[in-house]
Amino acid sequence: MADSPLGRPIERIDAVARVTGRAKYVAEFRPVGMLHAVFVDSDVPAGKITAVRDEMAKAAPGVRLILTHLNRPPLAPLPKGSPGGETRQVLQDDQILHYGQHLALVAADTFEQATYAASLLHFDIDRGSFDVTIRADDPRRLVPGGENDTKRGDAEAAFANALKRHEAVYTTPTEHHNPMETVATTAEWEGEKLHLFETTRNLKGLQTLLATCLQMPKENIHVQCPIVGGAFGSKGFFYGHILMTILAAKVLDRPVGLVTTRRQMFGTQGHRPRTIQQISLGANEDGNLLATRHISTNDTSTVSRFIEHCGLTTQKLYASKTLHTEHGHVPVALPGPIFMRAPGEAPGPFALESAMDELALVLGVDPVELRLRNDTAIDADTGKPWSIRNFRMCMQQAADRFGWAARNPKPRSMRAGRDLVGYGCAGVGYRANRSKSTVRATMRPDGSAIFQTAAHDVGPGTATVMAQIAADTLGVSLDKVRYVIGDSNFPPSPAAGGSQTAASVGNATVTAARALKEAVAKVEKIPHEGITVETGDDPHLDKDPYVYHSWGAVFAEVRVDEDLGTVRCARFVGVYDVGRVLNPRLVYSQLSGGIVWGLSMALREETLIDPRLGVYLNRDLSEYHVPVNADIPRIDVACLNIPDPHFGALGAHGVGEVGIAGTPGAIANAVYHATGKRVRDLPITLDKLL
Amino acid sequence: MNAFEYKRADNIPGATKDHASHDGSKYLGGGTNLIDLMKYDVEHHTRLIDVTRLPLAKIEELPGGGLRIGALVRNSDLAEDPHILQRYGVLSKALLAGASPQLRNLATTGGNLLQRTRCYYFYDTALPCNKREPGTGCGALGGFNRIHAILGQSDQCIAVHPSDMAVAMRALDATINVEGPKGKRVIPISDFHRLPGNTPQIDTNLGPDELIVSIDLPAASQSTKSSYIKVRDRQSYAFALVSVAASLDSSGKIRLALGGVAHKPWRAEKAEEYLSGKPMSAENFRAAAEAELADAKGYEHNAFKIELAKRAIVRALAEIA
Repeated sequence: MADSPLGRPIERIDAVARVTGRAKYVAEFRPVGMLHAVFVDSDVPAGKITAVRDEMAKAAPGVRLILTHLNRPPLAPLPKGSPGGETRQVLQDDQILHYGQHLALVAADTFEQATYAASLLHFDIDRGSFDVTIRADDPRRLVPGGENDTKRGDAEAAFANALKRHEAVYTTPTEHHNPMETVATTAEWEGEKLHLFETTRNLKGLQTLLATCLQMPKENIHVQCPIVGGAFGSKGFFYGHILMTILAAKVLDRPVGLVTTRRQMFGTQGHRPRTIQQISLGANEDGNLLATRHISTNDTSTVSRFIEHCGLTTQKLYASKTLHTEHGHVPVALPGPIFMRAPGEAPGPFALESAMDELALVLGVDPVELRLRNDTAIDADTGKPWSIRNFRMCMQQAADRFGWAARNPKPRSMRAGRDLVGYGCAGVGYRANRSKSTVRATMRPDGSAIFQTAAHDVGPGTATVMAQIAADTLGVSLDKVRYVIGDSNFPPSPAAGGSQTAASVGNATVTAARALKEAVAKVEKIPHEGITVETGDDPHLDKDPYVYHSWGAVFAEVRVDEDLGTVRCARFVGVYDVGRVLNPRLVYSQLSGGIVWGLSMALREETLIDPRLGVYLNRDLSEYHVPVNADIPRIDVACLNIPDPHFGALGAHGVGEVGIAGTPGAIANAVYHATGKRVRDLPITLDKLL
Repeated sequence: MNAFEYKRADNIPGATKDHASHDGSKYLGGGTNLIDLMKYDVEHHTRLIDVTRLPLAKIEELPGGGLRIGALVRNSDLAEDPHILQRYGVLSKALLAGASPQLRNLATTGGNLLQRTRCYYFYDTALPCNKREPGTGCGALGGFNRIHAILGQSDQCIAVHPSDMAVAMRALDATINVEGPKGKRVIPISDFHRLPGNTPQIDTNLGPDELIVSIDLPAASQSTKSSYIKVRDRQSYAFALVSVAASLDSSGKIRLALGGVAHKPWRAEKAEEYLSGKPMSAENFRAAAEAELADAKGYEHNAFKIELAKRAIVRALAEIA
C-alpha cells in the first residue's frame, strides 16, 4: 500500500497519555472498598522463625489482617521447572533461606497504616549460618548441562596447540532491573472468580500458574495489565507477592491492593547474578579462531537454580574450528536470580569481545579486521545457514560512520585536553525468537477494526506497532485500527521476553488481518455485531532449514580523565542487521535504550553485597547507579533494514535486547585503548583506573 | 514512619518554645533528608515544627562587607544569587554540583548543613551502626566502605558528611547564627560539625532546641577565583567520592576544603599553610596535597581516595592559578 503506516516513524499512540499522567498503571486501578497491603521481607539470610511478634502490629490503627506462615490459607506447590526455578511456595514454613524472603503481608485501611503496622511486626529468628560468596573453581559448582553447553571438537587440545593464544577471567556483578514502576498487585474476588491487576509481562503464564496454586479453573482467573512501566526481565516469574495479595483479598472479602517499595524490589523480584567467566581463544597467525572455550559460573539461590547462559553468543557469533561452552552455578544463600536485559547475551559478550580485543593485540591485527576474519555464513552447531547474516556490512558501515580509520592503535596515543581518548569496537549477536501467538480481529460495520491479544507493552510501544501492521495488512489508515492488549481474556500471546513480541505477535497479526479481510470479502454487508476471526501463527523454528539471529557492530569513543580516572562515553555508533524495520522511531528508541543499558552495565551498575551479613547494601536509585542524562552521549544508530525472507511474513526481528548486547565490550575495549589498562571486572569505575 | 504531630511556626521564639516543650520535636525545613530518614525509620519524631514560614529567606549585605544568608534560602536561589556569584563563587559551584534541580529547589541552607550521612549501614535499620544505635558496631568498618572516610575517623564510625555546600562554607569560614530558648549564639562552621570520636550519634554541636537562623560569610573581595572539583561515579545526582573547594582572592590567599573524606567538611589547613608565600606551581600543589593527606588512612575499599584526593587538590588549585 502506497501510504501504508508500516515502516513509518509513527509516534506512540499512547505517547501523550503517558507523559501527561493519564495512562493508568496497575497500582492506579483501585476498586471501591480496596484495602492496602504491604509485605515484610527478611533482612537475615538464613534462619528459623521461632515466634511471630504481631501484638503491636495487630493493635495499630486501621490494620485488618496480618498474614504469615502461621495462618496462610492452603496453596498448592509451585509447578516445577519454571525458568526462575522458584520452587518454594510463599509463606510455606518457618525456614528462612535467603535475604528478601517474604515473611508476611499486612493489610490496612490506608497505605500509611499498613506501612506503619509492618514496621511494628517482628520475628524471633534463630539465625543460621550462610555463605553468599562464590569464586572461580568453586567446589560447590554444579553443571546442569543442556543445549547451551556445547562441545565441538577438542577445544582444550586445539587451544594448547594454537600459535596465538589469549586466556583470561572476566567478571560481572549482581545487577538489578530497576524498572521505573515498582511491582504492584490488585486482587478482587467476585464469588469464585478472581479479578487481578498485576504488573506482569506474562499474562497467560501467570493465569496458568495461579490456577495451579489456587486449585481453581483458569477460566475463573482474569488478569489485566494495560501497560507495564518497564520490566527488563522482571515482572514475569516471581509470585509470592501476588499470591499473598490474592489470599488476603479472599480472607478479608475485600479488594486488596499491594505495592512494593524500591528497596523491596531488590530482594524479591530477581536480578542478574554475578558471573565469573573464563575465556580461552586460540588462533593461527592469520587470526582464524581454532579454539574457543567459554566456561561460565554464576551464583544462584538454594531455592531456585538459575543459569546465566554467558556462552550463547560465543556459540554463534564467530567461526571457530573447535568450541567448548559450559555453564555452571553455585547455590548460595541469596535471593533467586532471573532473566535480565539479554540474559547471558549481555555479560557473555563483555567477556568474549574483551577477549577478542586482547587476542587482536597478541596477533597484531586490527580489532575490526579480526572480527571480519572470523565471519561465518553458517551456524556450526546445527550446520544450518543463518536466515540473514550481514555482519560484515554492519562492521564496515559502523566503522565508517564512527571514523575508525582515524584511530591510532597505540594505547594512550589520543588525547583531548586532559582526557585520554579511546576507541573500541565489538561484534554483536542476539538470537531472533518467535513463539506461538493468536489474535482476535473484528471488523465493524463502520469499517473500523479491533484487534485483541494477551500481549504486553513493557515500553517498546507494542500496541502502536501492531496497529501499524494490522492497518497495513488490511489496507486501511491507522486511525481505523484499535489494537488492544494486556488482558488474559484475549487469545494467548507469549510473555514479553526474549525480544520476541514483534515477530510473534506481529506475524500473527498479519495472519489474523489476512483472515479478516477474507472473511469480510465473503459477505455483502457487515452485520451489526461485526465479523470476527481468531487465528495466528505457531512457528516451530527448530524444524526450519535456517537459524534465526540478529547481528550488529558497535563502536564507542570514551574519554578518561588522566588524573581522576573518570570515564565518559563521548560517542557511540551502532549498526544493526535486524531484518525489516517496522517503525524507525520506535526501533531506534529501543536500540538506543539498549545501548544506554550497555553503557550502564559497563560503567555504572552494581548491587553491593556485604558477605558477612548476606544483605544488599545499595537498595535505592541514589546508590544503585543507572545513568543520568549527563552520562549519555550522542548515540548514532542505524539499521540495514534488509528484511529476513524466512522469518515470518514481516521479515522483522525483535530489537529489545540487541542494543545492550556487545555494548559493554566496546566500552571496555575503548577504555583499554585510552588508558592502556585492561579492566576485566564490571563496572569500570574510576578506582580501577587510578 | 510513625505518626507525628505537625505544627507550623509563626515566629522564632514560638518555634523554639514549641520544640523545647515536647521531647521528640524536630524542625522541618525542605524535608529533603528528614522525611527520608523518618520513612526509613532511621529517625523517629513525634512533633515536626515546620519553620518554612519564618522570615528567614533573605540574603543581605552586612555592614563591613560580609553577607548574611537566611537559613530558609533555598539551595537553588542561593546558587544563583548575584552576591554569591560575584564574591563567593565557590559556594555557587558547590551548590550546583549537589543533588538535582528538584531537590535544590526544595532544600534549605540550614537543612543542607544538618543533612546526615548516606552510609548504607546508617540508612538500613537492620544493619549495625553506632551512629544510629550506639553500641551496635560500625558496619562499614569491616564491611563495604568504598564511600567512607579517610581522615578524622574513629573505630566507631567512618562515615562522611555528604554536603557539597558545607565544604564551600568551610573554605569560606562561615559562621552560623542560631537561636534557642536560652538565647542567641554564633557557631563558627569549623566547630559546627563534629568528628565521630566516641560519640558518632552526635553529628553537630547544635544545642537540643536550637534553630539555625542564618549563616554569615565574611567579607570577600570581588576578584576571587574559585573552583569546585567533585569526583563521583556518575556525571550528576551522586555524592562525592572526593570533592575539593578552592578559592584564591586578590591578596593571594588560598582557601581549600575537602568533601567526601571525613565526618565533617575538611579544611585543608596543612595544604594552605604549605602554599602560603610559595609560587603557584604543579610541584607545590602536589606537595601541599601530600602534606594534607599525610595522616590519611584508608580501608579495604576506599584506599584509592587518598591518591584521588591529592590529584583532586592539584586539579582544583590548577583551576584557580
